[in-house]
Amino acid sequence: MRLGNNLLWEKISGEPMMIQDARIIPQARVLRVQSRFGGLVWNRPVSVIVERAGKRETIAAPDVTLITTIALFVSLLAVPVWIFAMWKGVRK
Amino acid sequence: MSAWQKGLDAAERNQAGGMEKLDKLFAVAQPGAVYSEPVQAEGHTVITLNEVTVVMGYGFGIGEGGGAPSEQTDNANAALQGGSGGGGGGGGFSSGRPVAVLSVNANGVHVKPIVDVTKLGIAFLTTFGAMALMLARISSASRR
Repeated sequence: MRLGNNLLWEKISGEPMMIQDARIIPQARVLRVQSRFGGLVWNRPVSVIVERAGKRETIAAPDVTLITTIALFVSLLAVPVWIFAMWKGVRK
Repeated sequence: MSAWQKGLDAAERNQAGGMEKLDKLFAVAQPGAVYSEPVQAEGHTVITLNEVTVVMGYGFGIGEGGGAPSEQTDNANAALQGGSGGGGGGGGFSSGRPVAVLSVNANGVHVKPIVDVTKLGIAFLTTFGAMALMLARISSASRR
């Protein structure tokens, strides 16, 4: 996704690397926000494409720390919803 | 050239410089910055996959004002007593964090995630602290 030159959110592939007998193509997800007064770049690995012995496979690189942190904060947001649902149940 | 024009020129130069720095910073957005150089040891080749974050901001301002008319000066002379000024500043933040390790050996290619225990511990304590605080406040409010 690209909005002019100011916002970019896309998956980009890096230069292929030959490691032992495998050809590895790194892939990264980039968020780039640019304005007249500054900007932000968030660049994280998402997967690697491995070509070996004529086979091509994509191996995901999950960010376990980020996923767990998001899960924790979502659970924090769920607490008031749960309390509200219980409170409504008691009133009935 | 008036002081105002000088200030405006300086502000434009600052902005152009800032944009140039920002463009250099955005070179970080290449996948090469996320994947480290391969390291070989005992038949294994290892590459670290990193998350890279860069934030930068800058700003500037210019202004001028005339002096207030007093008993000794008329309105025309008051403007001569004024002044102008400008200033600018900026700041930024960058961080890198290993996310996973790519290991290549005779058995194949494997990606092993890296768990940042410190970050998770802080997030865990913050979340449960906030939950406990929320529940305590709700409990005390319901007793009233």
